[in-house]
Amino acid sequence: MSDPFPETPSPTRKNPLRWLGLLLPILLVAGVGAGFWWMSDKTKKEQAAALAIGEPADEVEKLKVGRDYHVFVRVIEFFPTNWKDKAWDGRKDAPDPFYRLYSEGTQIFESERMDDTFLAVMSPLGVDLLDAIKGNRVTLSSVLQAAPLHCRAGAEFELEILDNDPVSSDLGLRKSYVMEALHLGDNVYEYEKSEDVGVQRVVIRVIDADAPVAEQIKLLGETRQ
Amino acid sequence: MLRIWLGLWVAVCLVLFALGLFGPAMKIIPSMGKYSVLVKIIDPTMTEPTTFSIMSGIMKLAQGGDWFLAALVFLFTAVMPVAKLTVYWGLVMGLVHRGALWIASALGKFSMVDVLVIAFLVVVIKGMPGDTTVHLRWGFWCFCASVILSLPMSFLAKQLVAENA
Repeated sequence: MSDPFPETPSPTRKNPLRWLGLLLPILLVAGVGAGFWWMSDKTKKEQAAALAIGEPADEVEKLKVGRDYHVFVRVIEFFPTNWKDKAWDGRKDAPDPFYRLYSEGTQIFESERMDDTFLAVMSPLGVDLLDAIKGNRVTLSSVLQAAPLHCRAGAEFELEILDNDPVSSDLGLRKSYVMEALHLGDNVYEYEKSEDVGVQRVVIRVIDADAPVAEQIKLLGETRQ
Repeated sequence: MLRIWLGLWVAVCLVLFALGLFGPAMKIIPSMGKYSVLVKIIDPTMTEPTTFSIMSGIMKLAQGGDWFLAALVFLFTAVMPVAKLTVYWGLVMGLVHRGALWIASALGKFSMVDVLVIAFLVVVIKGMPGDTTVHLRWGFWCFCASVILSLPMSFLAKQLVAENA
């Protein structure tokens, strides 16, 4: 029987290992696959390392004059008794906290009310489900439970924290904050109990209203302080 | 001369095929229409774009428990094209008998099935509600180029065999 490829001697006669040449295509494909896997693994490790390092402390950015921000209170921690050293509620329940924000003496925001808690972790988001079901567009600004504020030179806003009571709400805290003194992210303030101060810790979060939506959402969801 | 050309042809097809199999083939950008912002808030990862290669897509199928589908797609998109190109490579290098040509021709009949699978997937994703979009990436085009370039290979291989008969 004649050889089908006279120019190419039969592998079985010349070199018994010549059939290994058939593995070349498979090795090439496997090699490219291994290369992609290595690159992807390297990228994942670099991303993990970057996350582990975290953001350096000097990245904290002070608020800038001329920019718009969303301001909301993320955490309110009450003293066990009010500033008069009496139980917050008549039935010795914990306070029912909510807060208001004022700019130049005018109320610009009021939060939802929470029930019976010394540590109120406020949600910056709230969805009007009826509105959403009715088909109205759900935007970030429509779900964001925060006060929009423009940072002017020397501008201040006032925070009032109250314990919701049916007759009259008890004051937990009333303080003014200079906007330029705040920074992006969480601003933690701790207080001693004194007249008109029944709150021992407040965390005010500020996010840049001009930042891309994705970044704002990231800042909203962060739990670090 | 034909042997050299066919050898180069097979080599180019193999490189394109390997890049097509492991390179990014499609990028899916999820969108939930007017509720996108809400979903981003609830679970930001749900709206993050995902890039798949053909191979990573097969692995996802397998990880999701769709073993039969994963095996089927793997057979048509990875095993058969590699087997076909390996047979042609063997013919060029004189490593296999010319009778093997019918194996390559038989495998070649399934050449477009892999592209069909991807095309079907793209149509399915494009038809999803909520403005979800799918973008084809360079891996897909490498894969298509490999499949299309390998179509005339059967004809060239037959000529080679006839020349050497």
